[in-house]
Order: sequence, then structure tokens, then C-alpha cells
Amino acid sequence: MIDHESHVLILDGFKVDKLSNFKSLVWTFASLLGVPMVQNHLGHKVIEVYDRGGESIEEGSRYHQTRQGAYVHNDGVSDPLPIDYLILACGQKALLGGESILIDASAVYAELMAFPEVLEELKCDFFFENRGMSEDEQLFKAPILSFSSEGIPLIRYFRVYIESAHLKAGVPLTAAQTQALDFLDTVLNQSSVQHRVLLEPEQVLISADNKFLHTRTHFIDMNAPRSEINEAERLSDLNRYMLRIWLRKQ
Amino acid sequence: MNINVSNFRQEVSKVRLSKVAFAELLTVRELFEIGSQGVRFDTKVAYINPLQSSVLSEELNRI
Repeated sequence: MIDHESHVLILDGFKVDKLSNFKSLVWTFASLLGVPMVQNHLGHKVIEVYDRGGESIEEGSRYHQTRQGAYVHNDGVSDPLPIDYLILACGQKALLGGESILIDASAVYAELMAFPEVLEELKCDFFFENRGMSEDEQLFKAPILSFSSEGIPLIRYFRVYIESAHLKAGVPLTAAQTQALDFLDTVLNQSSVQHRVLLEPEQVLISADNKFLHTRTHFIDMNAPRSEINEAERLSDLNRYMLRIWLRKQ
Repeated sequence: MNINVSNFRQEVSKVRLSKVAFAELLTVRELFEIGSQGVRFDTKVAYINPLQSSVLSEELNRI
């Protein structure tokens, strides 16, 4: 269904009480669905998405450690090989905000067909970085826009990481590249291509990562942020809490 | 290249595992928890026996 029809779906009914049970249930489900991928330099294959109360994204934090809304992006931008599926499981929602914004790459492509020079630029290589994936910083090149063998548009995009990678490479973005990113961002911010959902506890979002971009809105939690959470805690006592898993096909 | 943009959907599909499939998932989880005690849980993966968890297996394939 995800590969050939909707590219994204929400699975409901993952009802558990304690955090430890939630983790093992979501992990069991995900590892039956695909091969979990490493997501950081520590080798972790499950990432807990919640506000630690630390630095901002601009100061170097990764998106999942903050409560900031972010730029529209895919998750699999830090690895030269794309991930196939993003799993985002909701353990608790925020007091306010934290909506997921979902955008089909095909819709973005359809909007940009009126600007062929922008599409051509996006098909060329940009620099990306392996932020958070390894202690050894590596840059690599990849196009933002490509196509599957069936002709479905695929997007690899996280503007902050691209700009950072170009700075580190000593290769500033050209005026044409910057303009192409501006056009892409403008389309990504149009309500006509966006679908908003507020994930509820017990819901699991599954998306084909390079066919469906996403972001979230800024959120405010019920309680003060914490850097660590006890496994024995009840989900109902937590601030906004998600588990993120990246999968490749079996 | 013929670009296929026909797959765009505005609505996000919402689905739910059947009761039987969810019960089978809980059983697989129990087996996984027994086999992964003492280690960080994401260092091992769960396995499904399609004969013992046929409904779950079928519903996972549909996703």
C-alpha cells in the first residue's frame, strides 16, 4: 500500500500503558515490517523524539531533541543510501502544537513542472552531510530530485543540512541553486500540497521516506523538559514523546 | 521519461490491525522480550513465524 498507493498511512490501536511496553511493541512491529537502520553514531536503531531542553537546531542539536518546528524534510538525508520507510510512533502528544505536516513529493513535482529550470537544477548534485551519524564528518553529493524506476518523483531534502554541507565543502551554493531551493521551499509551504495530522497516542505513522516529506509544527509541553526518561513511566505522564525508526525493505 | 504523478493523495489513510493480528503481534513481542533480556532492545530484531502468526503476517504484507 505504501509503496504503490498512498505513500503514507497511519496505523491505529497501539495501546499500552508503560514506556517500556510501548518501545518493545513498536520495535517488534517495525522489525517485522523491514530492516531497522542505524540512526546515530552510537548505533541506535530507535530514536526517542522529545524535547531535552537543550540547544536549538541552529546551534547544532538534532531535530528530534528539540521542540522546534522545523523545515520540511526527509529523514534519510544523512546517508548516501535512502531509507525506504519512516516509522513515527506516538506515545504522547504535546499540550499544544506538534502537528505533523505531510507532503507528497509527487504533488511538489506537479507544482514545479511550471518551472523547468528549477527542476533541472534540483536534479543536479548538492552536497549533503552525515550529521549525527558518525563521529567522522563526511560529505557526499546527491541530487534533491530523482525518480524511481516507475517514474515516481523522489526527493532528498533538508535545507539546513545542505547549506551546512556546502559551507563545510567550501563550495557556496550558486545563485541558481539558492533560487531552486527557494522555489522548492515556497511550494513546500503551500497549503495546497500539505496535509496536517495531529498524531494521537496509540497511532503509528508509516511513510515512504523519499516519496513523502514531512515536518512538524512547534509545540509546547505540559511539563518541563528532561534529558532522560525512566522506562517504567506511564505514557500518560510524559511530555510529547515519539519513537522514530528507519527501515529498509526486507 | 514518463513522470507518474497520479499517486498523489490528499487524505492520509488510517488503518488498524485486526484483533487477531494485534494479538499475534503481542505474542511475538513476548517472545522477543524473553530473547532480548539484558541488552538494549534495538540490538535484536523480532521474528515472525508465518504459520503461527498467519493473520499478522498477511496484514503486514498488505501495508
